[in-house]
Amino acid sequence: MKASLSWLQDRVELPSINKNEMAMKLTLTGTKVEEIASVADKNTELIIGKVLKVEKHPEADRLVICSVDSGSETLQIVTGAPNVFEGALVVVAAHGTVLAGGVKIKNSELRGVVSQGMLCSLDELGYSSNVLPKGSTEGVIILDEGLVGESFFSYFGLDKGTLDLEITYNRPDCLSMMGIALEWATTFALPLKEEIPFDLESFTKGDLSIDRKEGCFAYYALEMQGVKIKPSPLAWQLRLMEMGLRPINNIVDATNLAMLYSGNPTHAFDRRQVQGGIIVEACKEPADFETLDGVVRKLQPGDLLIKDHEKTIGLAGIMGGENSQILDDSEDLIVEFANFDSTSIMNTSRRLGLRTEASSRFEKELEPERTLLAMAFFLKYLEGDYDWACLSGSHDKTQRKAVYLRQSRAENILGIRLELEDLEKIFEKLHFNYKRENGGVWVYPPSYRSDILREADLVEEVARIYGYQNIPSKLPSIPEPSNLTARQKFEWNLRDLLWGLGYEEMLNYSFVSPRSAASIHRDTQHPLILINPLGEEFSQMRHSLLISALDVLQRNENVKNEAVNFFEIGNVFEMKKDILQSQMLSLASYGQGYFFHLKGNLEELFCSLGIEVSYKRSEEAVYHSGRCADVFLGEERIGSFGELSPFIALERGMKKTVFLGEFSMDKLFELRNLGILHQAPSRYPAVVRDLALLVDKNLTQQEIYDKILSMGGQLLKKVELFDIYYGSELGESKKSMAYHCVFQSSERTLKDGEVEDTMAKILRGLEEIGAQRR
Amino acid sequence: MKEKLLEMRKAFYKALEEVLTPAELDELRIYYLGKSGALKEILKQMGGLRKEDRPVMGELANELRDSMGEAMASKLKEFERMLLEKKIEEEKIDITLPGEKISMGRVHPTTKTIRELIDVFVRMGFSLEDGPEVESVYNNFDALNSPKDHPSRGLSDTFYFDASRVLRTHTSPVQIRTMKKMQPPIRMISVGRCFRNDEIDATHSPMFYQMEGLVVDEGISMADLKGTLEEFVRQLFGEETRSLFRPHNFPFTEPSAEVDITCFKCHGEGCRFCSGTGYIEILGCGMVHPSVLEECGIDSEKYTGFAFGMGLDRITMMRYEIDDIRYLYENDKRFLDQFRR
Repeated sequence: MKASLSWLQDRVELPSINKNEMAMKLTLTGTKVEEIASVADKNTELIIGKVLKVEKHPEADRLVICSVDSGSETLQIVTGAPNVFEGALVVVAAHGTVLAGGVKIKNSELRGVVSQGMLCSLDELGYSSNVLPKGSTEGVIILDEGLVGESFFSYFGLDKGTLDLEITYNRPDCLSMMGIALEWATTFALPLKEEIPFDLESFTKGDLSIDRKEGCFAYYALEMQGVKIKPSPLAWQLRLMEMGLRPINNIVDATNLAMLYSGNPTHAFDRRQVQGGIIVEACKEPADFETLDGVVRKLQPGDLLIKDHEKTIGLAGIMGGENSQILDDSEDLIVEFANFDSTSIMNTSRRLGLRTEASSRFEKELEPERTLLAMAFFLKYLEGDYDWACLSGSHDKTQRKAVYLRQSRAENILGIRLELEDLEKIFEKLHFNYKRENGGVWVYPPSYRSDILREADLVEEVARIYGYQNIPSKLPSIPEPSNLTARQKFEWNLRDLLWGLGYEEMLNYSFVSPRSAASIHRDTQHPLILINPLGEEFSQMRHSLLISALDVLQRNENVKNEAVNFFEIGNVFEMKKDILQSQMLSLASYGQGYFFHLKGNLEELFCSLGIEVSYKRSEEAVYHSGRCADVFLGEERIGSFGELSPFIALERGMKKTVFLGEFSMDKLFELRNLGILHQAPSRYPAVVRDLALLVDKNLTQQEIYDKILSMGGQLLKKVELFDIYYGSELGESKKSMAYHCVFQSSERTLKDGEVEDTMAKILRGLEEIGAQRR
Repeated sequence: MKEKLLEMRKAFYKALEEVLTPAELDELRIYYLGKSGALKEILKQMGGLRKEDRPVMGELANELRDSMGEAMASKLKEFERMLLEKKIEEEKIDITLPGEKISMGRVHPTTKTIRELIDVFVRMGFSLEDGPEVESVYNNFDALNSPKDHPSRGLSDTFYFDASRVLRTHTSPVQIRTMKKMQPPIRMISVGRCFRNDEIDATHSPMFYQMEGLVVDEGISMADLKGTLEEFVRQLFGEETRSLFRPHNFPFTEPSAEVDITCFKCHGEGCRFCSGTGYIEILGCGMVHPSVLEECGIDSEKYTGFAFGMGLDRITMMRYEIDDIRYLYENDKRFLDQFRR
C-alpha cells in the first residue's frame, strides 16, 4: 500500500522529524515502511512559469519561441510542444537543472535561436510508465493552478514523498489513507483532523430498488445526472500517480481516489444500461459473463453478482461488466458503494485468476460503514461536475463484541509490569473506547477493527504501542541439558564419513517429473502425485533418490564437469494404504574409477558403521545387469549399487560411466554396530602361504573365499585375493586366482607342519568346487 | 726405528691429504696398515731393539696405528657426507609443482547452516524434533489457527495431494506434533524441507528449508523470546550484531514479530546488500497463540510460550553472498566445491 504524505496531511500533521526516523517509528508500531520515494528526489528544482508570448521560430516550422516568466526573470525557451499558449502555466527546467535519468539542462541554441532551458512534460520527471496519463508525452505540462516562481514539487506537495507500506493480513483497515492516518496519529501521538462531513439523512433520497439478497452487507447506489466527463484537476492526477495509479478521467479518478482514501472500492455503471433496480445475489448456474476488460469469464454457482432486473451487470467486488461500463458519451451514472462477503469475493477472484484493486480489498473483512466514507469523499471530489444526484440503499450496522484485558495477562505475556493507567493510555492512543473494571480493562473495538476478537489481540495492541524495543530481554532458565537423539547423531556421523570418503552432498527437490521417475524402472505402481504441481516436471514425489541423482549427474556432464562424486540423504515417498515416507541415502558418481571403486568406498563405509554385509547380484533394472549388487546384512536387504544400465545411459545420452547406489537409512541405523571390543595383536609371528588356483571362469571370488575360510580353521586369520589372471595357456574357460593365506596364533609360534596340514585341507576343499592348485 | 715411524707418519698424512676418492683411501689403508703394509714392515725390526725400548716403541706404534685409522675413518665420513650432499643437490625438486590430488567431500552450504543452528540451539537446551514432509491440513493449518480463508491455504500457495493432505508449507506442524505428544516444559527446534507453490526465480524456490523453534512453560514471556533470539543472533552472526523486533502478524502467534538484524556487511550503516536500510530480515516469531495451545490440549492460562521460524536458504544465501537460490538445488559441482567443511 502506498501512502502519499501530502495527502496524509489532509487528516493528520506530519511530525517534525526526518523521514528515516519517521519510517522507523511507523515500522516499530507495526506498519512496516518498505520505502520512501519521491519524484522530487529524482530531479533538481523545477519552477512554475508563465508563458508570456509565443512566437514562430524563423528557421523551424515545428518549433516555437516562448517568453516565460519564471518569477525572477524572463527566459527565452524554444520548444516543440504543440500545446503551449500565451498565458499557460508551465513547468520550467532552467539552466543547471538535472532531470530524472541524469539529463542536464543547459543554455543552448536551437536552429540559431538561444534557448534558456526547457519546458517539462510529465514523462520527463521519472514517473513509471504505468502511471502516466494518456497523452502525457505529446505536450508539456500545462498547470491548472500554481504560483509563478514557486517550486513545482512543493506547490503540489510532491516533495513530501510517498511511503510504500507493508500492511499485515490482520489489518485490512490500513489498506486506505484513512486507516494509515489513524495509525499515524497513534504512532506519533498527533490529533486527527476533522473527517469530511457527510449527512446521509439530508442527502436527496432516490427510489431505485435495491435488493441485497445475499453476501452483501451494504449497498448504496448514487444516481447522478448530467455528469461532465473530463480530465481531473492536475493536483489530483499527480496524487493518483503518487499512489501508483494512472489518471483516466474525473469519474474513474474519483472512484479510485475514494477507494484509496476510504479503502472501500466503488464502481460506476452507465445509467442507460441499468434496467429497473439493483439485485445482489449469488450465481445460480454456470454462465458466461464479459467483464469490462473484454474477457469472457466463466461464472460458477456461488459467485456474487450485481444484476439489474434483466441481466448481470457486474462481478461483485471484482470487476464491472462490459455491458454497463462508462463510455465517452455517458452522462447519467449509477455509482455503487457496497460491501460484500469477503470469502465469496476471494473464492471467485482466485478461481478466475482475476485479482483487482477492488477484490484485493474486498477479500478481507471491511465494515459496511466504510461505504459512507467512500461516498462522502467521492461526492466532495466531484462537486460541480454533475447536475443532480440522489441516493438509494442501506447498510448493516457492525456489531463488535467488547473484549476484556486482564492486567495480569498482559504482564504474563509481555514480561513487563503495566499499570491499568498505562493500558488505558495505550487504548486512548489507539482511539479505542474502554472501561476499567476490576483488574482489567474492557475494550470496545471500533467498527473498522475486525481483528480485535479476544484478549490476545489486545495484548498484541498493547505490545506494539508500548514498543517491542522497550520490552526487556532475558534468557529462560535451561531445565536440563539437551542432546540429539541417536538417530539424529547417526545422520550427521554418516555425513562425516561420506565427507571423508570424498563425497559431496547434494540437495534435490522432493518432487520429480513422471518421465524421470519412469526411467528408474522401479515399482512405480504407487506414485504419490500432487494435484496442483508447479508444472509437470515437479508433479510426482520421488520414490527413489536415484531419480534426482541421475538428473544431477546429467546436468553436471552437460556443463563438462570431469568427475563427480555425490551423495544425498533424503526422503522417498510411496502411496500405499497410507502415504509412506522413508529416509534414504544415495550415492552417485561418474569419472571416478569403476564398480570396485564404489564397492571399496561402501566397504569402508560399512566397516565404519560396524556392518558386515554380503552381496548378491541385483535384479534392479536401473543397473547394468552384470555389474550391480544387492547388499544384505544377514537376510535383510539394506540397499543396492552398481553401474547405470547402458539402456538408461543411452536414453539419456549420458557418455560417462555412471555408478549409483541407494540404501535405507532406517536399516543402516538399526543394523549398525558401534560396540568395539579391543583384541590384543598377537605377539607371535604370522605365517603367510600363497595359494594360486586354476578355476572355472564363472566361479565367483565369494565362493572360493568362503571355501578357503571355512576349511582354514581357527588359525587362518586372513584371506586376501591378490591376483586374477586370464591367459590362453590356462584355457578359454579358466582363470587363475591367487590368495595370501595368513596363519597366526595368539598363544604360540606356529609349526610348519600344522600350517602345511591346514593348507592341504584347504586344497581338498577347493577341489570340491573345481579349483586346482597351479 | 722411532725415526722411521715418525717419517712414515709424516708420509701418511701427506698422502692422506692427497686422497680424492674412497678407493684411493682404501689403497692408502692397505699400503700403510695392510698385512704387509708399511707399519708391519717397520715393526719387523722390533726384534733388534733393546728389551727396555720395546714397550715404548710398541706403544708408539699402536698409537700411530690408532691415529692413522681414525684419520682415515674421518676422511671416509667426509667422503660420505660429500656424497650425500651431492645426492641431495641432485634430488632437488620444484616444490611449486601441484600436490597429488586427493579429495575430501564437500558439505552443502545449507547443511552447513543447519548444523551450526542445531549446535547453537542444542547448547541452549532445545531438543531436535522431526516431522514428515507430507502433512495433514489439520497440522499444517487448522491447528495453527490459520483462518479457513487465509490465502496461504489456496492451491496457488500450497501443494495438495487431496483435500486433507499437503506438502507442509512450514516446519510449524512439528510444533503441533510435539505439543500433542508431550506436556510442557517443551523446548524444541525442528529443521526440514518445506514447500510452497512459488515459481522458480532468483529468490523463490518451490522447496526450501526452514527451522522452527518452540518453548512452552510456566512464566514464559516476550522477554524470554527476545533474550533467546538475541542470543541466537549473536552466536550465529557475531557478538556485535543487534536485533530489531518489529510487530508483524502470523495466525499462530500473538503478539507476533519479525526480526531484523544489523546488516553484517555494513553493521547498520546502510549498504547495497541491505538496500540501504542497515537491517536484514531474518526470522518471524511471536508468543504462541492461546488457541494453538488449547488445540493441543495445553492449558493456555497455566502455560505460555513463544515460537519462531526462519528460512535457512535465505540465511545461507546471506552468509555466502549467494545471489540466486537456484544454485542451492542445481547441485553443480563447481558451485558445491566452494563449501569446505
